[in-house]
Amino acid sequence: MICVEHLTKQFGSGAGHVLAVDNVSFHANYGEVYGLLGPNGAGKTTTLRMILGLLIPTSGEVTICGSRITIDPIGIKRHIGLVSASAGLYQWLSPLEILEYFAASYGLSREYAQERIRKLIELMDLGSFLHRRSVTLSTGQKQRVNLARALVHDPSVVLLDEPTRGLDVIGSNVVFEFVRNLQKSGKSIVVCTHQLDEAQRLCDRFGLLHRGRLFQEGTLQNLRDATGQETLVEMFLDVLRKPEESDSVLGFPESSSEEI
Amino acid sequence: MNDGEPQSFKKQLPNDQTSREWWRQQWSFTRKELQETLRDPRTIGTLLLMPLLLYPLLGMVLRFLAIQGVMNPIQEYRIAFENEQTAGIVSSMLQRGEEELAKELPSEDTSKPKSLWRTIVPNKESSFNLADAISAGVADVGVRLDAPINNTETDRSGLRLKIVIAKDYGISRTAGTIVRERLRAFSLLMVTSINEDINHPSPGRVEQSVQYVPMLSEDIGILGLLPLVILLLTVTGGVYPAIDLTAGERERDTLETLVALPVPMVRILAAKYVSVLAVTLLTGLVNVIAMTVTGYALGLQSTLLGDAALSPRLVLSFLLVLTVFGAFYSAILLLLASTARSFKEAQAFLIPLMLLSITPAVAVLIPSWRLDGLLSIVPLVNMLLVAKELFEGTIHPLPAFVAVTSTLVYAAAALAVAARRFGSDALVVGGQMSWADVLRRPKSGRDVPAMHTTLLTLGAILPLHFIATGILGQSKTWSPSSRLMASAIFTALLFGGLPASVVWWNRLQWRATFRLYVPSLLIFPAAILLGVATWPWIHEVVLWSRSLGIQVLDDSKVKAVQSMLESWKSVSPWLIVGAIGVAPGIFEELFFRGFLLGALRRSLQVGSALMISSIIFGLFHVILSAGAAPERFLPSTIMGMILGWLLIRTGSIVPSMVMHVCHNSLLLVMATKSEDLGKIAFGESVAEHLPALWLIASAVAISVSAVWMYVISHRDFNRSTMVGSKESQKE
Repeated sequence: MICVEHLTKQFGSGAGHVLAVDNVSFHANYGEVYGLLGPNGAGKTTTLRMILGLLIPTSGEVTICGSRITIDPIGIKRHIGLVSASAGLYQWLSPLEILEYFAASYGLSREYAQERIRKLIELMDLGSFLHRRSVTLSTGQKQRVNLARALVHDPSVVLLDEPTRGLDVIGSNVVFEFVRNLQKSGKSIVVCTHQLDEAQRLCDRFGLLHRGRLFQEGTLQNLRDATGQETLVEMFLDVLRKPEESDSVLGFPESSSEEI
Repeated sequence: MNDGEPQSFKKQLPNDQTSREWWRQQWSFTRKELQETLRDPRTIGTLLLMPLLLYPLLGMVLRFLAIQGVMNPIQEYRIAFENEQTAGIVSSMLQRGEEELAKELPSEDTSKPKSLWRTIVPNKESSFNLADAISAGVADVGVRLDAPINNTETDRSGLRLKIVIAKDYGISRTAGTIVRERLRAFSLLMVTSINEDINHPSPGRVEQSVQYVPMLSEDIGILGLLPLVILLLTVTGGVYPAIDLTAGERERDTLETLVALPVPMVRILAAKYVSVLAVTLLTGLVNVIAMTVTGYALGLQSTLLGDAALSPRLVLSFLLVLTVFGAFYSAILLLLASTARSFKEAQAFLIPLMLLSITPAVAVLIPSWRLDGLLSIVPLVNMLLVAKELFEGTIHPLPAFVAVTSTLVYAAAALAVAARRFGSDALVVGGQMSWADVLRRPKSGRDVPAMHTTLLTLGAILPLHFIATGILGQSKTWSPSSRLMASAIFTALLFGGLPASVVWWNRLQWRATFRLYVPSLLIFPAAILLGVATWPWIHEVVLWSRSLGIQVLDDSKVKAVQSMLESWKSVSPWLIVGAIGVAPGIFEELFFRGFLLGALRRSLQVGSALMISSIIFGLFHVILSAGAAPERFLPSTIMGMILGWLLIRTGSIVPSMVMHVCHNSLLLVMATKSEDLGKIAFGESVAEHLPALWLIASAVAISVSAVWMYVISHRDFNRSTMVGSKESQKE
């Protein structure tokens, strides 16, 4: 499972500093899909990048399968698979070469890597374009390769950053199937998105981020009870309409961390 | 997808790789970078198309100029003589030789004009120095009557001729070859024929020798431009892949997944480096082939390169210099490109670098710039000078060695900084991190220096030590005691002060970095015994090195050592031992063993760390000590390994300091007490092996102390923070 505690990231210092993520805490259990939701600029991607070790947190801790990011920032990356809509592919490599490269990068033995790649080819249906240069693939095909790449080392935590951005209905459906499969296999999943209706379909629990702070957390029912709104969209619109009030309810992160 | 419980993969992902797995993984990184680069049509464009189009085009232009008479490939060479008499004799010899050669190759000579040369003879009144005339470019080649073989005027059965050639001028070398070939043909004719031409009493057998003179003329041959060509080839080859593999990762949105890999960035960057270097070398190779083929196909090789174009030595030298130069330049390109957030920004960084590089490339064309002193450690300039002197054939091994070593150290340092920059916060999120951030003092420290810190420190100490040694070498007017004091101060500042300031700046732990731990008292006897017992075998290694031909200790250096020993007689022995024995013993250990070996151990296996730190220790003793001598490399490296082993066994810097101080001090006491021993101590005696009894005694003492050390040291080192595999993974 993944456990995020009091994660904070500040860019710059002095008067011009920006607090991109402010004291964010949440966790995702095995077989649970956690939605980290918020409008653009809420701090979702920054939080994700800190979990991935791409950004060094100003303070706070991330623990995955007992590894702590402040102690073993490289080791923790072995447990994480990243799916990002914006992630590109190496255009002159074929999907098979890409999968082999990432398998070797995660230190998989040759036999185990072959087995994993064979399974993923089957699962993501990559067979028909396995040896083609990535530059010639369609958007949907690229997305499938990206999903397979994220799972090549069989991570216990999968992070999805705007996974359906730029995809059509069929493409989005592939992603939904993908997430459900991951859930069934007992992985902890964190989905970052601003597509609130999609998130409502996918996630078990939600964390609502605004201006770097987590202002609500819980299951859909918890959130409905707390906000008096029916849908996630309405909850966000409510907060966005009254920005000054949203600042006043920012004591939530503390209470949410206590749940953990 | 469901492959069991989530943690099951842990079994497949060991934290501690074997070295074989490590290399397999590293090869996988490198292969991916090579595939990415070599499959890219733009790389292939610069690699193949440019030379394929450029050289034939260039060749056609040159040929056109040749036809127009602007450049005549069939040169009429100017041969200078000291007087009319020599001119007459040698001209007739050349003519006969030419006729002989024409008989052998009748078909080739049909298009050539009858006369390949014209003679230049001074006025009777003016004094004429042939060497000066050639240097000044008055003539292409000079022929001087050295002396008749028999010194009698009447018996002219043989002549000794001196051919004077301007060394770095292709046309002069070709003219020299033409003269020598014809004289040889003539000589052969005379030896084999008994017929004498009565009208022209022939001198018969001709002995030739060559005198090379430097070219003072502003007119620089094409050969002199080769360093510039090397630079341009490296630049054209390396720039695109360097940008594509670094800034390109961000532009293609692959950087994030790359940085998310559980691998230190320096390994990814090392793979990118190999790829950039490979493309650079391939570009160089393709260009050399294209140049040679164009030259042959259009018959321009003698015009462009003189006789040198045919030499495999030249081609090999060219590729050798290209490799080392490419190794350096690729690291610099990667360093700058790693900092960029986009292709455009990378280009904006690299264009000034390219313009900046052309200045030294042109400057080394100045004949008075030689690979010597400080210039041999100035990056970029030193390798261009190596190229220049290699092609001229005037290169000396020692400064070339210094240049190559320092260049490789600079390249490693640049690569280490690039790894720190590449994938940093700013590059991932596109923030405003600047170069100042790299130089800013970190807010929190770590225990021992990181790899990039170590390499940067080494990169700073190397030139500084070179300068310090140079200053000491120049300080002949100082009193012996002042020089000794200065030497001790330099040693302390460089190997103690500089690493200490690095520790302070980076907030490192003093004790962990310098291994400042108190060892068991029982270790001291063993360290002292090793210190006093090792020198006879070290001396034997020096002799062995010399027997392999590794030696450039000339008479002047031997005399310098003698006069130094002589001057010390007036100095207090305490000062001598303090400056040459104790100071290096303490401060060199702090740097080479504590700082360097400790930091290397963090990233490498213990054997590799020990080997690399010892080789660097050896190199410092070869290239930088006052009596620089390659035969010191092997013994110093072996000493470095013994001292490093002490550190690894005990975990403390103290035993290796004790051994180093004892070793140095003993040699000094020997040197000042006995002249014969002194000669041995300073490697001045070319002599003689030591008595067998000494060697046996030494071997016994070494064995006893080694076993003693092994038994009583408790692997403190392995238990200490330096070995923790998890921590070693920390960035």
